[in-house]
Amino acid sequence: MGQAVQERPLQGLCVLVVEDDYFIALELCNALRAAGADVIGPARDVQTALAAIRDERIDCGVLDINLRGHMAFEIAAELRARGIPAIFATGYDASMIPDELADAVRLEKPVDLVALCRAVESACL
Amino acid sequence: MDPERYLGDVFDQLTSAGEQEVSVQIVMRAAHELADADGMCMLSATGERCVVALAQQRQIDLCDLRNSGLYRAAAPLLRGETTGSRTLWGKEDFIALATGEQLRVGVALIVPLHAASSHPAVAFFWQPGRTTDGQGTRTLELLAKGLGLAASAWRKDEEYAARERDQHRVAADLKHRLRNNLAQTRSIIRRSQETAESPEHFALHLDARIGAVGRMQGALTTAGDAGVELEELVRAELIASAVPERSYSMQGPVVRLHIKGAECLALAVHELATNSLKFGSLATPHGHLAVTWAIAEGQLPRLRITWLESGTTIASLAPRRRGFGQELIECTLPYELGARTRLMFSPGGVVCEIDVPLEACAADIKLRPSQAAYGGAR
Repeated sequence: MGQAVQERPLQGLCVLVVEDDYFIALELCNALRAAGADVIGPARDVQTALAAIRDERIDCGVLDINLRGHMAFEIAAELRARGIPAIFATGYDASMIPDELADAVRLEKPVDLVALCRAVESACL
Repeated sequence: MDPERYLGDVFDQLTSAGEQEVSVQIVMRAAHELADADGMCMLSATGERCVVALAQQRQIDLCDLRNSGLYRAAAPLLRGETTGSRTLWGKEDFIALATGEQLRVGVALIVPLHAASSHPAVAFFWQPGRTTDGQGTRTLELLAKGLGLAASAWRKDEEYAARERDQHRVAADLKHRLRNNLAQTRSIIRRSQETAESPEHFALHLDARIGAVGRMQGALTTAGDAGVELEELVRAELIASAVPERSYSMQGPVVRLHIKGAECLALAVHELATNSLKFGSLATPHGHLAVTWAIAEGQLPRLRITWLESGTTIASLAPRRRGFGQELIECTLPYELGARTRLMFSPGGVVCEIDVPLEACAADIKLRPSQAAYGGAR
């Protein structure tokens, strides 16, 4: 997977990954790292994610919406307040996303990892 | 004004009126203009509450009619004992409005509304101190029936919309769960591939892992919010691996696991059982497996599960590299459930300790031992 990527389009970008499923998180992190990104996290809950936003340099956030019953919209709003783009990687429909976050890119689970890297790249342009 | 044409217009307005309140106002206006009625009221099928509209004030109110003569007169109609309309002539009655006002009624016309409607059962029209001619009565009756139809259609629309909202929510939940399960399955496939020693190893283990996930999904779908019992979960995994009942024992209190806890622990038990059948105590005729669990009380109670293999003479060596099962126990459980885990490859077999915050995995516990220690056989 990683070896096939010739370029490292996400080189130098710090990407926060918020996902409560370990293997899914691993999959997202590996794909982002293979594309050259520095991964912050993965964070499995809202508090960990908010602490990371406070303490770390972050260029983009990749967020699952449902974190064991807690919605990740607070994290997206916090990123937005700092001018950091957020990408949703979720099983939810667009109708579940609040209006003020409706323009964020939404990738459907299971997430296409190539599309994920492309989405991060264009969000950080 | 041509009453028939006017009535036709009223019905057109009623069919396009979106709310009951609007329907009432339309009928009231028509009742006033066509039949000189001063007010009307719709009584619910239960007879407890009614809607009162006064033509002059265009006011809609809720009141209790139970103590009025009008209600007593309408009761047989409400109970379905009589059909058709009834006119009460010259009887003075009072309706107490929610505002505290008393509404004096001289003549009232009582009309049963649309039979299939559960909402308004009877409509009253009244004309204080006046009698009404046959034509006026007929007009009122038609208006009342029109109103009943409009209200019932409105009611059905509401019910339909509510049902549609429910269905939409259920479908959205299902879609979300399905997509999540797909993502989970794909990540398990990918990780199995990355940790497999050979294509045969990959295929064999993946097959069994997906079987374990499927079993747990099935059990959870059946159990719903009640959750799955830890004991049942362990037993189901051992049965699926054809472990003979004499080679294991279980002991612990009744613990019902919720979805997330059950999913994680089922996969962990599956990996432990698979390993034990291949290298551990379940691979030898004299080996024994004891699965025990207990609740450690405290501010944050914890569930402590011990998987203890014994009696194997096979040297149980730690694998050279971390396989899927080991990663699941040492990484997934801590990450997803906040568990503390220890996996030890000892001479007698594998010993695994899983210590999980109870709230991260359990839907319900009963702090009593589930029978004395017993083996797989009961």
